[in-house]
Amino acid sequence: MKHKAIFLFILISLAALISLEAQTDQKNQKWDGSRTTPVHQIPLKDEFDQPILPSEPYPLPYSARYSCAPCHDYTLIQEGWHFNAASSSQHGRTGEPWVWVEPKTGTVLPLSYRSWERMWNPQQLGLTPWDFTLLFGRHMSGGGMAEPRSDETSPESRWNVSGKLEINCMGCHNASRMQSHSEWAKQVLRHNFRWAATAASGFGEVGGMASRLPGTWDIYDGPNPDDTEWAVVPSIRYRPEIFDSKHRVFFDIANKPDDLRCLVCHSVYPVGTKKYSIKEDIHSAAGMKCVDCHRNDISHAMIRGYEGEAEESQNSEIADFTCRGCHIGEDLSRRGGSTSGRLGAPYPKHSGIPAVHFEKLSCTVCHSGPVPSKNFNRVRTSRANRLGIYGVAQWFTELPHIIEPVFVRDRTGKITPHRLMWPAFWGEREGDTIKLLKPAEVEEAAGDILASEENIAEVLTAFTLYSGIEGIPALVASGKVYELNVDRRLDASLYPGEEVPSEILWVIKINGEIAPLIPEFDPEAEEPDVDTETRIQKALESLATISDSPGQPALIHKDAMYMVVEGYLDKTESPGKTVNTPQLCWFHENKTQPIVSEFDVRTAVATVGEEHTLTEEQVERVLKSLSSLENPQESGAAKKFFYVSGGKMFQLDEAGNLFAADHAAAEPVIWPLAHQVRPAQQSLGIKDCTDCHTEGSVFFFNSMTGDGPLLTKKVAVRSAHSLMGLDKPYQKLFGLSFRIRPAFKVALFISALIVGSMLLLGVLLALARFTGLIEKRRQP
Amino acid sequence: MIFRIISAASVLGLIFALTLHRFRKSQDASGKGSGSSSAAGYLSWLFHRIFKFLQSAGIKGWKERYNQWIILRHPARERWVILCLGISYCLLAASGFLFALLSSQRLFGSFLLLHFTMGGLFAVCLPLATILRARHYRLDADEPAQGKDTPASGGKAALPWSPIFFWVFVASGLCLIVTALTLMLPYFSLIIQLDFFEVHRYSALVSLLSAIAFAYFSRVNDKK
Repeated sequence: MKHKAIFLFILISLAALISLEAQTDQKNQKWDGSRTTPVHQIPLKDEFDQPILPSEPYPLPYSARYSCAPCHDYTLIQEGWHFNAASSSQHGRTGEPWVWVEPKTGTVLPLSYRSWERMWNPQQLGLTPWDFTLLFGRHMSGGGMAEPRSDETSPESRWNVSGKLEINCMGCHNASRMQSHSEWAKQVLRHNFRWAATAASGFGEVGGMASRLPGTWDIYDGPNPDDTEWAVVPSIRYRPEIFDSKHRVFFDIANKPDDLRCLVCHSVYPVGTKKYSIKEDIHSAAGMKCVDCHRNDISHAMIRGYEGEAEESQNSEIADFTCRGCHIGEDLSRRGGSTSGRLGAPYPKHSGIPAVHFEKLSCTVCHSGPVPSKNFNRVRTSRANRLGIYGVAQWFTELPHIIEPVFVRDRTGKITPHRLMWPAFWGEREGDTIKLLKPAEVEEAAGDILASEENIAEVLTAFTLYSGIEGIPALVASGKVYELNVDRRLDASLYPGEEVPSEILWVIKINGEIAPLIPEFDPEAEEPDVDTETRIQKALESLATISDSPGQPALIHKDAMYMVVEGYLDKTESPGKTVNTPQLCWFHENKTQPIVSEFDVRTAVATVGEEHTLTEEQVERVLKSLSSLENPQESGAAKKFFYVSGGKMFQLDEAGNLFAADHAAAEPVIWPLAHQVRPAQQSLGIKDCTDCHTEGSVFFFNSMTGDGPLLTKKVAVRSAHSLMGLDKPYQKLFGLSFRIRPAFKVALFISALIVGSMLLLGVLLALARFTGLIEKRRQP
Repeated sequence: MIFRIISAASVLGLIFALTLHRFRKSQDASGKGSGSSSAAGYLSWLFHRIFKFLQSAGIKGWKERYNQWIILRHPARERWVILCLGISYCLLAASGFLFALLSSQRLFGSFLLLHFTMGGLFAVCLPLATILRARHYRLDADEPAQGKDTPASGGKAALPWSPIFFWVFVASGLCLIVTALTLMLPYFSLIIQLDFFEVHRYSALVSLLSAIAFAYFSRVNDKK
């Protein structure tokens, strides 16, 4: 009993101490009212809350959690908008998803931890925080799922090696031009999570790669002196000049982050636009910063600025930060007086715009994004297309294809411009239940089906590296030349010669000239050409370097077959039919097969250099492969595999043929766009009503086709009016009515003139009679 | 909301006043005393009239009304104008007040298109009807011409109710046309447009009230 009492006392004391400490922290948070930002000359602390001394051997990277903690409540900041996707229950209006792009399997999957429509929760897919951080850490601001608690880690994760990806405070608040997002992305890719913020801030130089370290390595283990080449332990060399004599470092803090810091993750690039002609948001052009509207306090609960946010967050103050709140104010009756809008925001007159527009449309319809045109604008965004990471390699991806502006009713019922992308993914369905397959699962089941380009590239790599033949090896097929690029993928170009060969040829490209890899020769000649035989031997030897080849490399020509046996070129009789041009092949069990299959060549011809990465034939084969792997007794006969692309769901019918059908899971994913806001003079309707209201209006009658990695004509088609939930015949008729509006206005004017004249006449007559100017009419 | 209340109250009030007026007149005509003018008597009379109206609401009934109101009252050259004016006005009032009273949204969709189209027809017919009919609704004529009502009770001078309501209808029609025109012109800010819109709505209400009253007094005079 006594022990229990002592234990309880200790517990209470501890709780009181923690509470006191929290109160002390809270006290530190209190703002004194000064509008200045204090100089951040502070000691760096590592993840163990120990001061960092740059002169020490193997110093640790700085930890924002502990370096910033004396003044800033890290746990409170962790609940901020940029970090709370997985932990918050308040998600607000739909935002941009993370997009998992895997071109090989044709996966373009919108993900979000937030419960937004048509986006997949990574947890549903079995993606762990570790997987998610590896996929998207490049554009994450740290914290959240990238900084899991110890009990949240999964067995396959390597947090103990990489460290956690703490909130990268300097990623937003660093005013120095030394802040490098590319460095951050590279360190994340190398699994150097705990070093990423230090490297990105420019405080020091980080070397080594945690990704190469064994899973048993721990930060306490320190560097490995035995391996300085490959599995080099990440280490940091701080720039000594940034430390003062007290080992304090000057943090060039921008309390209000610079726009460039926001644009690291929030850039939107209209594809094909020259850099100098990128249009700036009118607010930015006027000198405003992103954070002038998108404000936050220490909680980092960013104001997103959409209508309804104030009600959702139960914070009426933030209503001022919507378009309407800033430009009009709460009450229309203020009539543009001095109180309307923040920062003297211009009060819009909206001359000639009928009031119904303000009930049916959001402000951004007329004022934001590109002006609607026949073709939707394709854009790349930082997070979806990996923009803003600079280096030798090309980081950005063409997929996903995002288009704008797509006008759709938002959840308030108002028409709002959106960005749109079509998802593409593999999965299995049982009735209405859908389960997604991870790209790795599909790749495993598909085997070589999805590796056509790789198979060809492998052969070309073998020729390039090992044949010693002068020139660039290439494949000629269907009038195109396929060469290896630096990423060991294929580049396609048109065949330069006049006579395009109809067959598949391995060639050598020298100074732009194309010549067969194995030139024409006579195998029955009494004196064989030594140069030709040497070349045949080199080609066959290089092919022999390919691992997992289906047989021994051979060359068949006419009735002869050449193989390398014990280092010598051996000529035997061809086992198959006679061929008239020299052909490289694999020889196995007295049979020959082409070096690369016709399927591989067919697929490469259809996809290399094109936007699509899959063919219908591939999808059909992969679905068959997935079905064959599934045990029908376990899975149940009703379970079907499918692939979604271009707004359609592709499945196999009973006969094993591919067919496409509509399905809710194939519907496009949309999220509202708010920027860039155009100047008023470029808003919709500024010229006249026919900016939108015509019988052929692109605003109402534009249509889009489904888009995805699959090369197919079976795609969904959506019209603008159907997306807006509007009636086409009515809008056509209404648009047509604007042709007679000028005449209508004239008719109204004449009518008003006549009726007005009649009334005026009556009034004048009455006045004349009243004054006696005209005598009252008498009865005869 | 205020407009809804005012509209509903004024229309119902006017209908009540006119039916009461008609009820009293019918009581006077049948020589019954004022004692029978009780609420119960009024209601009984009202339901009887409504029932009678519904009984004659078929094609035949409307044909008769058409003959009475259009063919007999107007020469051939006026008929189409009056007919078009009447139809367009009924549809304008129906589409406009349906939204104003029952919907929280402004007029849109097919109703807007109907309102817009009928507005055009109304704007063409109103000046024609005014020109053609103005002389019949002079306010200064001495003789008890068409449209002049007899006093409800003796001793008071008769007021020319039909001409008064005719001119009120014309004046409110002018307001409707002018405000509709200004709402379509790109010269006025949203705030001014909203003011015009209010003027349009209240003009429509005045127009509707005057149209009902005008129709009633014209009918009373016809009966007479």
